[in-house]
Amino acid sequence: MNTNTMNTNTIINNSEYIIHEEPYYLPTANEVEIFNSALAENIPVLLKGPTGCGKTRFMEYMSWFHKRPLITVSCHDDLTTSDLVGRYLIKNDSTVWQDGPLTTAVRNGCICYLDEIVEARKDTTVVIHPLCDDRRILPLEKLGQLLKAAPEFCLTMSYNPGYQSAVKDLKPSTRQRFIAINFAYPVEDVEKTIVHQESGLPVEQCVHLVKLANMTRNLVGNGLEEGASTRLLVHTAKLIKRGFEPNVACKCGIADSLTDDDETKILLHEMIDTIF
Amino acid sequence: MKFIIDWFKKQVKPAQKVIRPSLLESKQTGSCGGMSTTELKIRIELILDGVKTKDSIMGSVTQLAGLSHSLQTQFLDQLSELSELSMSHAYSVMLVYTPSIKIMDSKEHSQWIEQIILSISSNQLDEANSLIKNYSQFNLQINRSTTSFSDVADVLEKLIFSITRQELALMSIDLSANQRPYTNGKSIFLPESISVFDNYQDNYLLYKVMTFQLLGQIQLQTNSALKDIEEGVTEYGDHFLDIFSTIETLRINHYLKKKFPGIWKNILSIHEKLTIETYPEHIFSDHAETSVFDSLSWIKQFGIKQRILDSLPYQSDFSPEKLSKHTVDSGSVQASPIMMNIDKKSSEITEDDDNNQTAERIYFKHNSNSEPSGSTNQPDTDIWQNLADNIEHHQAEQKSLRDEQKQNSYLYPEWDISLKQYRNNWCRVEEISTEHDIDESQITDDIELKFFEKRIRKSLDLIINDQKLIRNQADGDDIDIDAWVAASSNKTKHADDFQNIYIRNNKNSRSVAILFAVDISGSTAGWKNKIIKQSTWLLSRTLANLDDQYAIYAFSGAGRDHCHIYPVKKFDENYNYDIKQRIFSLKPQQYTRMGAAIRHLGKTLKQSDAKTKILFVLTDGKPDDIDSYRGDYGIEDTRRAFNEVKALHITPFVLTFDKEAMDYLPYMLGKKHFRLISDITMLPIQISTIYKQLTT
Ligand SMILES: Nc1ncnc2c1ncn2[C@@H]1O[C@H](COP(=O)(O)OP(=O)(O)OP(=O)(O)O)[C@@H](O)[C@H]1O
Ligand SMILES: [Mg+2]
Repeated sequence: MNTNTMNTNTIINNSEYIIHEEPYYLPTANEVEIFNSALAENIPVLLKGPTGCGKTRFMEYMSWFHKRPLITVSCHDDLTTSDLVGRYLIKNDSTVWQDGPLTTAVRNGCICYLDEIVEARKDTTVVIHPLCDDRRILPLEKLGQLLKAAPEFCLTMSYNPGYQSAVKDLKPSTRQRFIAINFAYPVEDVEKTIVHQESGLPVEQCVHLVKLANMTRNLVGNGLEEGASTRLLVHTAKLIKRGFEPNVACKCGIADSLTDDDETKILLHEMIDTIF
Repeated sequence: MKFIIDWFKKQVKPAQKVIRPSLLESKQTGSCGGMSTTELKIRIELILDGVKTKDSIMGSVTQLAGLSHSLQTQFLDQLSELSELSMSHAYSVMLVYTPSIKIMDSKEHSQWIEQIILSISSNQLDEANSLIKNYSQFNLQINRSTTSFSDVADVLEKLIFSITRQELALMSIDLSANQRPYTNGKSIFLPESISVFDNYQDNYLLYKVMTFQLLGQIQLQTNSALKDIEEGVTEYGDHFLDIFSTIETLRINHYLKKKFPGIWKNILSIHEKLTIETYPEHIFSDHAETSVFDSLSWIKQFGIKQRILDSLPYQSDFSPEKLSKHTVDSGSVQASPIMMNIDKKSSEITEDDDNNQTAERIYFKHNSNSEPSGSTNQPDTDIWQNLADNIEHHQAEQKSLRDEQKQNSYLYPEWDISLKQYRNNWCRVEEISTEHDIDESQITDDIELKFFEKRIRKSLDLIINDQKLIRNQADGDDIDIDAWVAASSNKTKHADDFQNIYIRNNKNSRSVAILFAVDISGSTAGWKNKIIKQSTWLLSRTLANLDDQYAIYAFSGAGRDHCHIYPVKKFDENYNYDIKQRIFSLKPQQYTRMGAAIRHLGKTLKQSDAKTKILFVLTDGKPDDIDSYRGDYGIEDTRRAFNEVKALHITPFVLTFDKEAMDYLPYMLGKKHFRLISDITMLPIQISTIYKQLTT
C-alpha cells in the first residue's frame, strides 16, 4: 500500500510535545516502578484516581524521565474516532489526510495520554483495542492502512471511578487490556511536602491545609461528592502565600470550590475555623 | 504553681455586651446567578394563581430579583408552602419578603416564617397578620441570648465526625442538675442551653470549645488514670478533683492549641471576653506529647494546696464517676509519661528534689497498669490512630442505633377531595429492602419470555439507533466531511452527491431515566401478578442493554402509616441475576395507596440528572387501601399525585392489565399516558411504540 504522498502533514514537530524541564513530582507509592515496568513490557497503563491527585503531573514527569514526547487528548462525549485517528481535510479542492493525535503518537513513538477516557463514546474507545494487545496496530480504515506502532509508543489513560454513573463505565474488554495504577491522595507527610514545594508556603501552614483536606475527605458521601484535592490545596496555599488570611483563602479556595449547598458550606467554614 | 493560682483568682464572669455582627453580609455573598424578574414573576404568579392584579407584584419582584439564587429558591418554596394554607397571607408575605430578610438573620427569618405558618394553620389569622405586618420587630421579640443544644448539635456532630471519622453522638444534659459537660468515649454530653454570653455566636463558640475539650479528653485518654484519680479523691477529697480538673483542662487546651489553632483562638477569645487572665502557657512544653500522668505528677509535685480554684467556663467533668463511664478500652493503649518542661523557678520553690520526682513518676506508671512489655519509653506519636483503633468497634454500634431511629421512613401529604385540601404529613412511606427466597423453578418457565425479549430488543434497537449521529443528511448541524470528501473524490460527479452532506446530531436527546413502579398489592394476585412480573423483567432486561438509567421499585402497604416501598433495583445498581430473582420473588402484598407511592418515587426519580424522566407504573390500576382510601378519594389523590410529579418534569405512564381501569385512567392521567395490556404477548408490539412516545 502506498500512502507516501498523503502523509505530507503527518510528521509532527516532535519538540512541541517534548517536556524539557523536569516537572516536580513526588512519588506517593510504587507508581513509578510499575509504570517503568509496563513501559518496558509495552503494556498500556490505566491511571485511576480522584480529581487533582497528580495523574496528569505523573504523566508529564514520566514523559520527561523517558525523554518521550507526550500527547494528551482530553476525552469528551463528542469525541469521534476521526478525532483520534485522523481525517481527510479539503485543501485547494483536493483532499489531504491529517493524522489525529493517536495516529501521530503511534507513528512517532510518543506517549499518548487519554484523559478521562470514560467520557468518550463507546464506539470511540474500541479503536484502541488492537493497539492495546500484543498486535500493537492501529487500523486506519479510511486510508486502508494498518499502522504498526513504533516501539516507543505507549498508551495510557486516566479515569475517575468515583462519580461515574453505571452507564458510563469502561467495558471489561477495554479495562482488561490495561495495567491499572491506583492513585489516591498522598499521605499527610507527602502531601504537605507537595503543597509546600508547589506553593512555597511554610511547611507548618501546609500541615494545617492537609489536615483540613483530610477532614473534608472524611465528609465524602455526607454532603460532599469529593473531598478537597491536592490541587485545591496548592491553589489555596498560593493564595495564602500572596498574603490572604488563611481563613479567607480556605473559604474561597476550598469551601466554595467544593460545594454550592449552603448547609455543607457552613460546615466547611466550621472546619476551617477549627484549623485556622 | 503560684501564678496559676493567681491567674485563677482573677476570674470573673460578667456577661459582656458584644455587638452582633451584621449577618446580612454573609447573605449577600454569592448573589450572582439569581433568577431574572421575568422568571420570578412567572413563578410567583404560578404559585399565587392570579391573586390580585398583575402590576401590584412587580415592585416586590424587582426587589426579589436582587437576592441570591438560593434565597430566591428558598423564597419560592416558602411561598408555595404558605399559599397552600392561605393565598392572601402568602401574598402579603411576598410583599415584605425582601425587606424582612434584610433585617433578620437566616435563623430568625425561618423562625418568623414558621410562626406565620403555625398561626395560620391554628386559625389565628390576626396573629399571622400582625406577624407579617410587624416583621421589623420580630427579631427583637425572640430571645437571642440563649443558644440551645439543638441549634448546634448537628453542625458540631458532623464537625467531630470529619475529624475522627467516628460517630461520636452529641447528647444534651439537664442544666438544672448543674452538671458539667462530660463524655463516656462514645457520646459527648453537653448542656441543654448556654447563655453565658448575651449573643448567639459567643455562646456557640463556648459549645464548640466544650466539645473539643471532650474530644481532647478522649484523644488524650484522661480516663487511663482513672485509678489514680479515684485514689486522689479518696485521699484528698474534692480539692484534688478541682485541681486535677483544672490542670487537665489546661493540658487539653495545650493539645488543642497544637492540633486545632482555630479552637485555640476561640479559647483565647472566651478568656478575653470573660476577662480571664493570660493563660500560663509555658507549663507544658511545646513539643512533647503529654499524658494524664504528667498532670498528676504536677499535682503530686506541688502538693494538694488548700486553695480551691475557680473552674474554667468550658471545663468538663473529670470526676471518677464520669470517667469510669468510658467504655473505650484504653488499657491496651500505652500511656506514656514524658518529662514536662517545668518552669525552673517554680521547681525551686518546691522542696521536692529530683529523686523524689522520679519516685513519684514510677509510682504513677506502676499504677497505670498500662505498661506493655518492652517498649516502655516509646511515646505515643499518633494518638489519633490509637483512638481510631480503639473506637472502631463502637462505631458499628452507634450506626445501628442511628439506623433504628431513622428507619428509612418519609412523610408525605395527601389530597382530601372532600376537604379540598392537603392533609399534611399524612402518609408514612417506608423503604423496605427485599429478600429473595425464591426457588429456581419459578424462573425457569421463561423460555417463552426469551423469545419476547429478543423481539422487544429488536424493536427497541431500532429506536436507539435512530437517535445517534445521522449522516448524509440534506440538512443538519454540521457538515459531514466524509460525505463531502466522498462526493468530491467521485470521478463521475453527480449533482446529487453534494446534496446530502450534513450530519444531524440526535445524541443529546438520549438522556433518559426510567423508574418502574410495580404494584404488588393483594388485588394483583393471580395472573395479574404474573404478567406484571414478566413485563417488569422483560423491560428491565432489555433496558439493561441500552444507555438509559433505570430503577425498579415495588409498592404496597396497609393504611397511611404503612405505605411500603420495596427497592428491587436502584439507579446505581447494575443489572444482574440477583435482580431477576428479586423481581420474581415479588409476591402480592396488601393494599395500594397509590398517591403516597407516586410521591415518594417521584422524589427518588427527581434526583436523577437525566433530561427525560419517566415514572412507569405497572398496576392493575385500582387505588385501594384501608382507612377509606378508595373510590373517588383514592382516584382524586392519585390524580393529584400524578400532577405533582408532572410538575417535577417527570412523565408518568401507567401500564395496566385490567380493562376496568380504562374507566378512570384517562381521568387520572390525561390522554396518552397509559396503555392497556391484557396478555404478555402484546408487550413486544406495544413496548416500542410506548417507548418511542415517551423518550422522543
Ligand atoms: N505526587 C505529586 N507530586 C507533585 N505534585 C502533585 C502531586 N500530586 C498532586 N500534585 C499537585 O496537584 C496538582 C493537580 O494534579 P494533576 O493535574 O496531575 O491532577 P489529575 O489527577 O490529573 O486531576 P484530574 O483528574 O482532575 O485531571 C498538580 O498541579 C500538582 O501541583
Ligand atoms: Mg488531569
